[in-house]
Amino acid sequence: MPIYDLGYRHWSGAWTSHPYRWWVITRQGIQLLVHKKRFTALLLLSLIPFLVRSVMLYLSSAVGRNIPLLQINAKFFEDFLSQQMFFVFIIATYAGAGLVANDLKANALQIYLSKPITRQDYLMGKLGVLVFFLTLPTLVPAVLLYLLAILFQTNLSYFRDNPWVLASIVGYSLAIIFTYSLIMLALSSLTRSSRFAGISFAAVFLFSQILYGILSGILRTSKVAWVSLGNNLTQVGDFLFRGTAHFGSPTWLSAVILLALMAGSAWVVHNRVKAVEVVS
Amino acid sequence: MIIDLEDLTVDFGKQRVLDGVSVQFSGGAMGLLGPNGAGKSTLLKTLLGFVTPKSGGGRVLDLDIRTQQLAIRQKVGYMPENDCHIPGMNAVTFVAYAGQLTGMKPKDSLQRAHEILFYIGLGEARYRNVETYSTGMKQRIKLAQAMVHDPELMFLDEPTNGLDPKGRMEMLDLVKDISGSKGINVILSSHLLPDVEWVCGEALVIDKGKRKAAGRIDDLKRGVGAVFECRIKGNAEAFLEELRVLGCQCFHGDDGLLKIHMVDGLGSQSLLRVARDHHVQIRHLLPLRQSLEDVFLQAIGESHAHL
Repeated sequence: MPIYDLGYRHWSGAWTSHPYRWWVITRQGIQLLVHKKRFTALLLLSLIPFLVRSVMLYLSSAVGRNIPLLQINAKFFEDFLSQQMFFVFIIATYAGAGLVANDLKANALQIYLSKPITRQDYLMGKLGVLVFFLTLPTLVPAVLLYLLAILFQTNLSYFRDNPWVLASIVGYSLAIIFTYSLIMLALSSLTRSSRFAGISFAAVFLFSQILYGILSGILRTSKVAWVSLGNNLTQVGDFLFRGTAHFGSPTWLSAVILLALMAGSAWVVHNRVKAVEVVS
Repeated sequence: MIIDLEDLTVDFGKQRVLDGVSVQFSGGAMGLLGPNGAGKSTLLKTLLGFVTPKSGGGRVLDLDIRTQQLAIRQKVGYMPENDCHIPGMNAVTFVAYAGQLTGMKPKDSLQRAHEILFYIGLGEARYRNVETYSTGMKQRIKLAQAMVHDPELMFLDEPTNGLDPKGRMEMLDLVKDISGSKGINVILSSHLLPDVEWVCGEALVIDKGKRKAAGRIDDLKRGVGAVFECRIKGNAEAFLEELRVLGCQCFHGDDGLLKIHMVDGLGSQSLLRVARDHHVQIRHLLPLRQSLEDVFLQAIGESHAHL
């Protein structure tokens, strides 16, 4: 007896609503990655700076309120987020390089888009995976640090006088998360090789930093900091945390460049994700 | 009506891929026939909303193909032509994921994935990574992801591609069972005429983006005139030219054999008369059973005739 004669039953269950369809893609992407031991180890590793700073917070309240290293202010949180950019880079490369590239390689877009989901759903789903994993080393620990700081401090006058610090933490974290996520997604959509996408991502950051090093060395000025992606984020961070700017280039220029890069990346990935490849 | 298309025209850049295709499909299994590049896959993709028609339009399951693509995809299952899967998953996860993308709840889709994988014959291999599957298994898994949500209509694009004869027959039996016993309407796109003839009751023949013939296969066969296989000696050119003038179509076969499609109303007597008029000897004459291939060859006409 052929195996198919074992039966087929019609299905008449309830459907989920369409606005949350992108979450299916995000959830699946998260599940696939958390089962990878190396990736989980990387996520745990990215929590070490958080633990160190938690200890610093405790020491600050217990013994060293006047020790400069243990000063709890906006710079404390900005420095934490800037340090975390290393992990953000590694996690974005690991999690994001194959997000679209692997689907292109396996012709999976035809499967995705033959279901009742739109290109926007697909992109939101993929972006959601990166945003989720980049939130873990940035926004989540930074907000936790903020809450711990409030818990440990006996004198809350700083936080009472500077309520904007929490908004700055959220704003800077989101700037980092979306810049890295969108650029990674765009590069992943430009190739069928996740390895090539990862290398391109590294090249974008490293090349822009090297270019800044060369230009600033020749021109002996930091006004050209805007050529570096990392420097632009630093400039925006300095502005959000009301600190002294690291570089001489205008902050508005860095903000515009980052926004343009995000918009450009979104445009690229939106145009690359199609169910039908039309060859004219 | 399952499918109702009216003057559907699709352009890719400057190239016209579908040219005024109109067809009605009331249910069951319909074969979409045409040579490679005829526009079969494009037609399916247009029905799914992947491609926007330049003009004309239509309805699938009473839903507009221009404005209700998502609702159509909710009710339709699509098995793409080329090798495709979602990387990093085993078969159960893949099929369950396909169900969730369609809107099934995770628990429902997982249960359904197991059922479907057993139904299509991958039950024993359901925990294997899809990337390690053979070509035949990949074809089956594509079928599974297309039917996990119990669609009302399935688009199967070349489902027997790359299969060995046994695998091909198993796949065709599956498709026949789906459309015959399970009440799921099927559009089977193929350039393999026996596949369509085995599974489908209706056929739509398209060539160079144009509709060439459509209807029940039995009716289409009846509309075809007599077909003869013959071998001749003598002035073949003049003989064949005369037949062409009468509206017959002639094709070269193996070993110098000719296949002659007579116009409806003309029979062997006419053939013999033309041969006598041109002093051609008929060395071999055999009436052939009319098949879908005859319908196809007559429909796509002289552009593909080998004479």
